[in-house]
Amino acid sequence: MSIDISEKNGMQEIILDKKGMELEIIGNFHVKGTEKKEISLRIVHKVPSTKASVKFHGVVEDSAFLKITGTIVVEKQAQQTQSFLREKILLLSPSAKAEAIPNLEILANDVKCSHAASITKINEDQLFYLMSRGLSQKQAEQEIVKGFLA
Amino acid sequence: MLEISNLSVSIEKKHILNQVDLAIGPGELHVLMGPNGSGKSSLAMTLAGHPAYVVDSGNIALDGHGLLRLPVHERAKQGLFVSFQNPLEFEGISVQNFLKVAYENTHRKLTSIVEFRKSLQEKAQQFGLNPEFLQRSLNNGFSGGEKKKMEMFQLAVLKPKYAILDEIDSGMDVDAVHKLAEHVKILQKKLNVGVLLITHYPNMLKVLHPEKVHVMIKGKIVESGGNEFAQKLEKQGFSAYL
Amino acid sequence: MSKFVPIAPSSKSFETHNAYELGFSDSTNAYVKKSDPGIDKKLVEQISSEKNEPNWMRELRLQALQKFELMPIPTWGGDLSHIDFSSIQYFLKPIDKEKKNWEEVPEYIKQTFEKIGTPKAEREYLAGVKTQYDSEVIYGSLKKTWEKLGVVFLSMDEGLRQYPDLVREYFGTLIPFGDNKFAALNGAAWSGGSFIYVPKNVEVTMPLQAYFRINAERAGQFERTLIIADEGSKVSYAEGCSSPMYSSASLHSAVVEIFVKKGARVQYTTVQNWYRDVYNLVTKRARVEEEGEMIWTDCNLGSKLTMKFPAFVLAGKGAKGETLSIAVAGEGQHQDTGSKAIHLAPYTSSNIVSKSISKNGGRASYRGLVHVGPQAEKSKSKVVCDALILDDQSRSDTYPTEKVFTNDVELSHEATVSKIGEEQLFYLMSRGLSEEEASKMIVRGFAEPLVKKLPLEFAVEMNRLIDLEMEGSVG
Repeated sequence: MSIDISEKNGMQEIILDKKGMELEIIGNFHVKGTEKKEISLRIVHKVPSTKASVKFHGVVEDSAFLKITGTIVVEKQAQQTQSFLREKILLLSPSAKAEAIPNLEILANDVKCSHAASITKINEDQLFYLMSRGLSQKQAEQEIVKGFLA
Repeated sequence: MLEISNLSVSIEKKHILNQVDLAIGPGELHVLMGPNGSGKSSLAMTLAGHPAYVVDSGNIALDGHGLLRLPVHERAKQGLFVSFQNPLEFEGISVQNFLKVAYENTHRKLTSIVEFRKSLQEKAQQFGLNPEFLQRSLNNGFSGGEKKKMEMFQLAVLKPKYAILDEIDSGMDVDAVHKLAEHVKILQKKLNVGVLLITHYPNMLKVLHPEKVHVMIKGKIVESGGNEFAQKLEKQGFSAYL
Repeated sequence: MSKFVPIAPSSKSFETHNAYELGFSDSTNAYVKKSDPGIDKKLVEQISSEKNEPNWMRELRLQALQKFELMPIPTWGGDLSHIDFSSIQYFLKPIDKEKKNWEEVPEYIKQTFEKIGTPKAEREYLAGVKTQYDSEVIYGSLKKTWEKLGVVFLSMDEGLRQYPDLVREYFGTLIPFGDNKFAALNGAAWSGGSFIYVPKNVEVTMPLQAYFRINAERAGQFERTLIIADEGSKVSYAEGCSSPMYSSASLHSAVVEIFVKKGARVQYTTVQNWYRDVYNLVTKRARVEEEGEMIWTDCNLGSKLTMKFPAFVLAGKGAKGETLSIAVAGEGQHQDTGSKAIHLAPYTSSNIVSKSISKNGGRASYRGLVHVGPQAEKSKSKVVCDALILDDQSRSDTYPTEKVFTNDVELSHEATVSKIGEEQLFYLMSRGLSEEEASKMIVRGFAEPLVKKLPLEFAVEMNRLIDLEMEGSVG
């Protein structure tokens, strides 16, 4: 089952309370101008053998600000949980700002959990390649952003 | 003698091996063949004592000692070596340190670690392994072929009485296959190790001369034979049994 | 040069050779035998006058005390609610440290010494039975080497006495008293710690050990350390030990300030294994100038609660900071550790590797901050935290914060939480290792990338300690 929280704001909590539940949560966030967006997701594994995979992609342009907080909680009895959180943020301009806060609170031991976060700008080699095929810088950036959010 | 008698095994309530009978004497080479999923690797893992495989009935004995009641490491101490199809990778555990502990457990405490390390380096060269492998983390970042070589290398260092080689030839090129065959011969003839080679490539039969060849289909040994049987299989494969 | 001409040591200093060599106080010296519990203005003034400190230091202490009294106890991090400040003794001098009998030393500590091979001569000292260790012989020849190089390595008290101007320039500038309640407490009650100055372009090849510091308590409650590595210099400092340390004090709150000047390199290693009822709250920070490099190597094994987040402020272009941290949390323990990397200049890089092991109900938390400011273009940061939870009673948390205020950066953070893999156990056991041996090997392997970066003596003891922690944890 897949949940898309791209349009949401503020704090979201998702609880996995049925054995065998498998969830995919995605969020694509694109902020421009002087927009400020803060999104916070808390995933709680309450029973054994559930699986969650969270993928957040953010693009920040101009002087916008994006803050993504993702917390995975695995309660003591939730053995055999698999939970993964990925946050990737692309900063397009020198005045773009971002905060990534991936948290883990793990009280069970027979689990597979990981999270990863990265904040980068556009890969210049990629930009160069697209531009050498005739795209303007703006077009090339748009293509890369599209690919990033896909 | 490594005796497998009337062995029936299931995993997650599914029957996977059905009344398997197999006896390997010291210095003998047996080849076990069969299509993918026929239960060959399950037999190897059951012999090693993998907890997921439940023995429903039957027995395994090594030189008269029953193995079924023994935990994994005790079986190794009795003289059993099972190579893994997909050897696992370990971070921060060097090959030479690991081998030292394993050797001391299965043989005796070393009187000279320096001597031991020297012998490791010599063996490494015999196996065509760069001695610097000895200081690398066990199987970490090794290619498929390097992992297989490492399994054979461990076997040569740990000198068991009986060795189960699970698909050690898969993915190997012609030269490597020949080298492998040479090593297996040395194991048999020089070290008197009883070997069960598990493979699904009839090619191996070209370069080896097993005492017996067995074909396993759906967890059961459907036919066994000697030299002539081997030659027939080498030409026709085992599709006839499917 | 005049800045660094030492002032002749005062004979009234209570840190003279005599008192320590013989292990008892000279009755002509007026010492306060034992301070009353609780901290107030009177005690702080007493501490300062006992040490014959300049007025400005006494003033600083009083300012710190004020801040301490006003600030609330932090509610984040570990559970600090049981600390009763009014019942703690704040001025335990080495001489009035209670002499314990060897019989009173907890059994598990005695057994640990046995198992990790601590030399018999050291055991009584480490257990708090003896209050001095005769390092005079070793110390004497080392001292000559340092003097030749112009390296200053003194206790903080002595450093203040001999180099007051230098201390005044740096003391409390990187970690002001308002930083946190425990830094303020330290500011008011500090005693002991190390003062190190390394002149320009001098490379100190042997690590300086807190152990060799002249005439200081092995580890005070409120140690204050100040290290200044002048341009182009290289120095490495190590403190603590892996043998379990028994302390009569239940609260340890140290402050470490390090100034890494242009092109200099400092490595600071701490191995902490306090007895299990100690609260260990430490504030450590380094300021790294252009092309400088700071490496924190931190091992936290003991204490009831440790809160420690070595930080580096990368203030100059091309500055580099690295934290390698390993924590083991066993029964009744909470290791709340991590690191902070603050990038203020371009082309700076930070690398944080944190490994934790929790078992028998212990809790290991990683708390980190990476802050990349608007001037820090072309900076890089990488954080890797791996946690191993050995049983279902134990806990692991990861609380990293990444803040980025400019776009031309590369920042990544990865964390994994796992237990010992059953397939891995099976593979090693199939080669003849028992389950306990296989577990030990895997846990050692987990810690290895970090342990190998420790000074050799620490590395050897760390490995033995990890094995020891693993024994009896399997089954």
